[in-house]
Amino acid sequence: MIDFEKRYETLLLEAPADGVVQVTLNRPDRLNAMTVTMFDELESVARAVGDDRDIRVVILTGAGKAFCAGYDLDEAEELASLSALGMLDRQERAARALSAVRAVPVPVIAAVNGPAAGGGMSLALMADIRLGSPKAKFNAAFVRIGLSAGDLGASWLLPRLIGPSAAAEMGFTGRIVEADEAERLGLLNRVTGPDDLLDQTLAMAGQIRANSPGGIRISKRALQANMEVASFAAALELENRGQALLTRCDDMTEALQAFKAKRSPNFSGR
Amino acid sequence: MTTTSQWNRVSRRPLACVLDELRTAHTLTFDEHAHGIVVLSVNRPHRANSQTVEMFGEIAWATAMLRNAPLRALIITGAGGKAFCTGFDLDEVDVLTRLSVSEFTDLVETAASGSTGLRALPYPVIAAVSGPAAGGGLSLALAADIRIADHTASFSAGFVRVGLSIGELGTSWNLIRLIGPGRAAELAFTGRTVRAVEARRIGLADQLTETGSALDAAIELAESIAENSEDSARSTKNALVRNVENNSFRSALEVDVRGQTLAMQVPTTRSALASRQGQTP
Repeated sequence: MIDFEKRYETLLLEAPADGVVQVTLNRPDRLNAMTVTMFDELESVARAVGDDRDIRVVILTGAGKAFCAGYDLDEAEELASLSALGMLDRQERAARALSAVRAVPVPVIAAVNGPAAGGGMSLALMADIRLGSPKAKFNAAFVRIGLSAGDLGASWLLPRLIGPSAAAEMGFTGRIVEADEAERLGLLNRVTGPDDLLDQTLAMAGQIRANSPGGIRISKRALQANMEVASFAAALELENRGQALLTRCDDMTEALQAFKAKRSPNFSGR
Repeated sequence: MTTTSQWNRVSRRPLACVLDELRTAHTLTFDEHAHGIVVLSVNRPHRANSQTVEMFGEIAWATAMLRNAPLRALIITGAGGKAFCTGFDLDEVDVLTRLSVSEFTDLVETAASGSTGLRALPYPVIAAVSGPAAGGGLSLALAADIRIADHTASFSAGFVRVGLSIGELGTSWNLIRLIGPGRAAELAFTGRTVRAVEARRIGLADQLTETGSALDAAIELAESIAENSEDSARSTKNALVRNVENNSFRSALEVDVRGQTLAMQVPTTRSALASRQGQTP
């Protein structure tokens, strides 16, 4: 269960609406750069969300001017002194945190309020949907500090999101992609107004919450699994099983009764 | 000399014979245009061309029949031009709540074999979308190779609004590949309606035409495709469909190489190339 009273060093947890949890990366003086503590906290929050049936949507955003500037370069200095296996531990810990965010069973919307660089961009890629303010910008900064764009899932997710050619350009140049271009590429679903990023994100969360919990959850699984499933026939098989399962739940019957009575459905998620 | 239709009763039948049989369908109509172009219309205009259990069966059956017919292109559209297809008829959905698991599995497997059947047709399939393509109607549009939309067209994945998921009729697999995982997730989770202009911008529609002209534009496109050789279209379609499912780049190249080498053995390819000699490309 999510404990809103719990204090996190690097994150802020809020409930801006019923069934919605907002996770704010909260190191604004360091442009919300990532630390080992942040990775651990992200992983623990992501797992807690998975255990909490009342949560329908997660919003991920950054405090202050930035979304997330990637790995904190003050901590990165230490990386050079780590042994190869010590570095592998560190890298796996980070990857585990980001995988946990991607594995959250309900929709995750990134509200990208400013720069998302390096690992910060990778984190934004873990979300299902990305909305951005006009100040949102992305760069795969890895190559600028002697690393590769093969970091925290970026090399896997980015070509699938924006196509291999645009991903190659971002990966090799490390150049900054501003909000409008990001929307055109499909890196952002939409650019909001300068002041209504969170309002628009909440509105979308509301639209999602109005649908059936089971349908959304099985949808997320189908979308993620079937992106990795090469075979169309196997994808259909997975879909058929999910749909058969949902016809056994209360919500389909409720939706049909509501439709006939011309009222809004009351989904129970049972 | 024997024609294929004389000896192969499994995989080839004359078009007229296939169409005669297909026209016994209750929920679909079939119109033949010149050059082997057939228009399949979802035909329940009084119910916004929504789908019934019978229609799922007929689509699956029709695709199996069409697999055997010498078409040059198939166009899918909605009868009446007001709606493409609005998914499962909510008046019939009651049936779903009464089905046992094995009966429901029969139904979705039949319906899914319509999606698989359309993908398996060895010639281009074009969806001409006027009005809404919703739920199973969206799935039907996604099963086509190309989508042409007019300004009245709209697309929505309404599954989650009735307690179901986007995982239906190949939609989850097709949508992420067509418009990317971010946009697919948004449409899947919200169920919101995408109007024609946005659909064109995000790649859900490949062409945007004047209101009322989607079908004409689809026929025009099919005719221009039919100007190319039948073998080329078949080899191209099969390469595209198979290689989307092929994880290995090397084996995809192998499919291409063999297809191209075979194409060079076809006399019409050789004469087409010969006639171009000396021309500037």
